Amino acid sequence: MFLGVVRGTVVASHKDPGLEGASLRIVLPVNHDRSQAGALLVAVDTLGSREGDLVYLVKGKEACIPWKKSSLAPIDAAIVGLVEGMQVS
Amino acid sequence: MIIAQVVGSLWAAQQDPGFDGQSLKLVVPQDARDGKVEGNTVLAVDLVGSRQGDTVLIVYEGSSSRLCLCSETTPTEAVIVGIVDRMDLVGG
Repeated sequence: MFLGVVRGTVVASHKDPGLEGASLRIVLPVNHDRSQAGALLVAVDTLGSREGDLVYLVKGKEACIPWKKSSLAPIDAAIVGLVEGMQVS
Repeated sequence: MIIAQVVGSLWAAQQDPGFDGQSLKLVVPQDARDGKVEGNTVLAVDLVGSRQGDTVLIVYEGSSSRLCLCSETTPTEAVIVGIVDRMDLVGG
């Protein structure tokens, strides 16, 4: 998993039926010091994150797990937690 | 598996129910040759009670990670499965 900051939303009215009803967020991957850790990506959000939120995400096959509507949905990234706090050395 | 150093921990305001009761740690990959910590931060479920500063062993591949958790419902691809006491590397 990795950290990210929610930067925006994607609206796609014509999409795969497996994604019907999914909220899509644009997320910037970041490190624990908030430095950029990669390119912007689109992730499914089942938690109701908002722009500016620090979240954590899972990438790959496991990204389908939070999406209960279909186990075969074409999802490769999902927001799985909203960060409340971190303790970092 | 990868070797990494624990740099912190994290708690959530809200998270997928699959993480209930799990501890999450922030780790950074560590070079086995010189111990240098470099790369992007990874967030992993901690099964072994690691602490900040520990060098740990991480399963960083989806289905194997969920085997360690005995869970098909925890959405993670990264699990801390060991605390490294020592490494011997020849010709690295």
